[in-house]
Amino acid sequence: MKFSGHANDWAGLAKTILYQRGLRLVSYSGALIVIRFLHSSDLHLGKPFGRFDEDVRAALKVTRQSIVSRLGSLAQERQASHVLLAGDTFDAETPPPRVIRQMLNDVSKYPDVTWVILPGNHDSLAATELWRVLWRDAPKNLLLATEAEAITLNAQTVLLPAPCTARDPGRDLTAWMENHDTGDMIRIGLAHGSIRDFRSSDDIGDTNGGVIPPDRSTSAKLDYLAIGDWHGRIEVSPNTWYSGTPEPDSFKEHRTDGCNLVEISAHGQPAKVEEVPLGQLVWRHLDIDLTETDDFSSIFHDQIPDVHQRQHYLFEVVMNGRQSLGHRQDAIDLFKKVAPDFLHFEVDMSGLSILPDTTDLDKIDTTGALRHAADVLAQEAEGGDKIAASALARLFSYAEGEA
Amino acid sequence: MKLRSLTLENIRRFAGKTARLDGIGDGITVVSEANEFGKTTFFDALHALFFEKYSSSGKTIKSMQPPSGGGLRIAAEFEHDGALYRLEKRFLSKKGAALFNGATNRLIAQDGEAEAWVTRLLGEGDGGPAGLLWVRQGVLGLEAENASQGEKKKLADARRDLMSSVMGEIDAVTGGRRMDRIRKDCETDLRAIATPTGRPTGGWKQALDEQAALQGELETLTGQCSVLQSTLRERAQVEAELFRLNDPDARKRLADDLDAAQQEFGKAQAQEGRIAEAQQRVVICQMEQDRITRELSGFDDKTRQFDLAVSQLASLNAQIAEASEQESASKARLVEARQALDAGQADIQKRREAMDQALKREKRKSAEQELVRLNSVLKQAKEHVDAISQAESVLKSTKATKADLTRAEGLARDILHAETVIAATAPSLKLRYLSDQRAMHDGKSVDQDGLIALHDGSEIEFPGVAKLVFSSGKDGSEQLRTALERNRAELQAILDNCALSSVDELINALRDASEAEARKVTAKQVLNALAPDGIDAIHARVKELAALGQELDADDGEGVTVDEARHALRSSEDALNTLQVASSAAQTSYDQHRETVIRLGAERNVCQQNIDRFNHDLGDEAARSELKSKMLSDLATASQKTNEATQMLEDLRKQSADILTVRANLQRSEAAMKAANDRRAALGLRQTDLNARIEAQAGQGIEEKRDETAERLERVSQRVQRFEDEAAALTKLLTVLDAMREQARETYFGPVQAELEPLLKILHGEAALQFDSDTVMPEVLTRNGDEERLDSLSGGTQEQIAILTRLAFARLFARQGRHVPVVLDDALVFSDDDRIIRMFTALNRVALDQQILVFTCRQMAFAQLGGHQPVIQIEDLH
Repeated sequence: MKFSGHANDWAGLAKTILYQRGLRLVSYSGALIVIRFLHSSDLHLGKPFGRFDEDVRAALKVTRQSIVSRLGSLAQERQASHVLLAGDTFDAETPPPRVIRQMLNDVSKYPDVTWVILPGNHDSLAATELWRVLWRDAPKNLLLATEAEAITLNAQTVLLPAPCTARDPGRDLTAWMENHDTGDMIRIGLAHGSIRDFRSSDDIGDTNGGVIPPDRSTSAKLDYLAIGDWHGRIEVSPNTWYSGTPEPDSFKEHRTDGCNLVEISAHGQPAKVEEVPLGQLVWRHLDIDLTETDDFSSIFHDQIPDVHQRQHYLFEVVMNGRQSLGHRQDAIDLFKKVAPDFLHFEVDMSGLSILPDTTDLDKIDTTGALRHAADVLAQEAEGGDKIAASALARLFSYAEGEA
Repeated sequence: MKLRSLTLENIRRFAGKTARLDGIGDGITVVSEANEFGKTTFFDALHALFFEKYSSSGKTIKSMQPPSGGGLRIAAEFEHDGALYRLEKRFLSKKGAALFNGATNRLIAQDGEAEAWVTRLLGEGDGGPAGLLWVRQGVLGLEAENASQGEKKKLADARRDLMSSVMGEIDAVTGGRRMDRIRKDCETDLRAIATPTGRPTGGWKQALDEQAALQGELETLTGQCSVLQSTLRERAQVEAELFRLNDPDARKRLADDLDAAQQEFGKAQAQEGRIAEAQQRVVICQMEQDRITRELSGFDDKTRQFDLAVSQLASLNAQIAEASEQESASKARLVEARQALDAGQADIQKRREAMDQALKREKRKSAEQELVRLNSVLKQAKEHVDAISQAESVLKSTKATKADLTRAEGLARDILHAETVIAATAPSLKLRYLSDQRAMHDGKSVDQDGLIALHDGSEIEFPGVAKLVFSSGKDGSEQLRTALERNRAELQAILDNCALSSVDELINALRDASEAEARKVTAKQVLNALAPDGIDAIHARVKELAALGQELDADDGEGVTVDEARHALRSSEDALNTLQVASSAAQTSYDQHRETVIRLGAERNVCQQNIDRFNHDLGDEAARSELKSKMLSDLATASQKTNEATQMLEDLRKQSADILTVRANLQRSEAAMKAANDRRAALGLRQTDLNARIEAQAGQGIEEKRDETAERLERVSQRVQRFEDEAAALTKLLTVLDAMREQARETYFGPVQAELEPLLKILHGEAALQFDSDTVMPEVLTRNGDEERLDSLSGGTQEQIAILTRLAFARLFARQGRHVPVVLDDALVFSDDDRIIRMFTALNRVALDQQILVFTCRQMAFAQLGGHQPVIQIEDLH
């Protein structure tokens, strides 16, 4: 390497030396980055997905279990020195040994990456057996943040974890961060729970009321606060983030599932956060509100993915509104036709009212007892009798079959 | 529709011929021909023309083909909506259908279109057109006795066939076969999931079973998870308790507490030892006191004996000399004993210092102390054993008894008395020497002015000069002398028996024996106090302690131990005691000898002077007093020592802690330590067991299984709900369909009943007919209030009812503007004359606005029917 005395050469020299010493400092925009890491959470390894068929369940479990490997590959690819998992790495307090073992094996596949696991509310410290096994079997590149004590990530960076002591601690576990002085070191907070906010708990997360102050990163002088619990990615503030789960596990509408790639150059400097998609499967929920005049088929086709992508989709359709018998049957036929394209496809038509018209009823019969029966059922369906509506729909399908 | 003509070509018996029936009018048209003419053929052809497809080659068509074969042609002219039409069909050969305008002969439709036109004309459905009503020949369905199932079904189908002509019309309002199929599909779908009673079956039951199974599985898994959580909580508690038990501070506190309790117990035991020793000292002091008391008593006896011994004159000087020698010796021993005593006290002081040093250095094992003590006890015991042996030896060697002494003393007194008397009465001789030579009297030198009592036989020798032998010659003292001699002899015998030479020796011997007895008793008492369980027990214990002491000695390398010091001190004290005893004994001995000397001196003085002084001279009063004082002083000293020892014992008891309390404290401390250790061990085992259980339970992933089962259960429950909804919807649909069909039937049959009523009245008066709602068959006839099932009626009545029913439907259709011809083929064959007339009346009533075509072979019977009677024309085919 030629050395000219130019400032860049000094930086390059420093980088070379530091690289040779094994520290991961990668420059961007000409400045030295002290630390680059991945922020993820809520892996929920071992989640059962019992509501699905066996083959779908198996596919979901396998995809879920591969999250760790994908995170490790991403960290290697993007030269991230650490992967921070902000809680709920495991779905249950006593996951099966294979779930734990495979996770640890995947972690150990990336020995140059340091992993940090924080206890969440699903895998809190009350899960004594789980943490006993982790402590016993953890590879060298896995740190277990089970104490509210600072962890040095590198010479200039310290991690301040707030492990969940129980499923419902009921208090702010991040409070200790305010009083812990680390000088000029970069301070990264790691926590799990809901932000205390004016939004409802349905909007914020699935736990019992928020306990983490929204300004914790400011009050504790954190350069970045990595939080877990909410499965969708949320930017609470420029340096306070929910990473969301890297692999979706429900039909709730989220931002793109993945993780955060975070770079920090110095204490007090803004963190650079890049949202990196990572999910392999897509969970899509579609609400369709129909009126009598709506063309369901075109509406539906506009919303469903390309046929070549559908096998990676779990698709849930909820239909509301009113449709004629004929259109309803058309919709059923359409769903039957497209369902096999998807990994999972389900439809809820309980909110779709039947609007029988003369044409539909004529298809049943124009006169006689059949028509009278259709008329009676239609009238009752109009009155809100769902059973009558279903009966009328069946009568229509039988009559169509007769035709 | 109204038929006008019918043409058959090459049909059955009309093979190669054309048979034509023209002139069918509006009302009744009767075709009356003989049997085998072909009337039924006309009926069948008419039926085939309207209900069989031209392409058919089924049994119905084949049955109309003549034996000679060939194609069949059937044609009919009919009016509909004011227009005349002609329908032709060819079967089996040159198949085809054609519909012509009857007036212009213009082809309206052909083949399929022609058949479709006819189908529309006659209504929907096959087999039951609304455009034609008929009653076949003999098709009444009369059931023969013992008919087989096949025959019964055939007959049931035949009966149904009676009404089949109206089925189409009925179907039009009840939904017909389409209703049946839809209903069947609905029922099939319902039966796939529910039984007729509404119980789940098929997929629904499977879903319910799966739901129940998952529910049970969930309950089991929930229970297992609960057990796992409980096990985890218990393990946390066990670990917390183990942590507390293994706390170094807590363990140290227990150990320190135990150590303190052990030390306190050791001190209490040592104190108990000291108390035991003090008790022994008290006993010894008490015994010493008792001994001195006894000695004092003996002194008094001696004094009394001194009184007796006063009379012992002869041996006093020798005794005095001897006693003086003994006195000197005893004095020397006394001095020696006192020196030893001083040395012993000095030694004790050193021992005490050594003990203090030992006490300061280290705590000695109690075993060594006990060993030393026991050794000391053994030593003392041995001494006392020796003393006992010595005493027993003395006792054994003493042959004299008190009786001997008493007797000897008596004899001595008598002898003394006799001698005194003799001496008093006997002449006496007083020698006054003139030279230094001295006379001998009875072997003894007589002093200057010595008084010699003369008695018979007395000899006085003047050495070298002469020997005087005195003989009294008086008889009065002979008796006394004899007695004297006897007494002397007896006394001598006693002394010889006792191997003694004098009464004094006898007294001394008995005194020694008494002293020996006293020493033996004292020694036994002391021995008993020292070794209550016997010396062998002490030896055995010493053996044990010696062995233990060797171990302790092996570890002890610096200075003497406390026990050794105590032992040494005790030994010194014991030695001092012994020395004190010896000193005292020496003192006593010295005193005794001195006293003897004095006594003997006194006796000698008494003897020197006279009996009276001897009687009064009990010795030196001062000496005796001094001796007695000394003895009293010793007694006081011994008493004081006893009191001191007792006080010391009491002080020790006051100072000592309640050993039961100390022992209880030690037991508590030991129990606490043991309990902690046992608890630690038990918790360790429990922890191991819990770890194994948790590993096994957690290894099964039961939480994951539980959550998965819960979600599967929710999904299955939703599926169950869907089945329930579907069953409800299908049931609802069936219910509504049945209700609507029933309603339609009711709506339909009402008018039919109205049309049927007047016709029934013609035949049966006030009668009513009920129809089966499913089979649309007449079912029950009510006459005069009696209900009769149709199949229980006569064949004629059934036949009549079937025809009347057709006629009622026809009238109904007519009222609706749909004219339907009624065709009867050899009907009313079972009716009697009366009934047949009534039927004719009914037929005529209906024929007012209804076309009725009657084929019959009963020309005469049907002559009364009336109506138009065309002739069938038969021509050969060209």
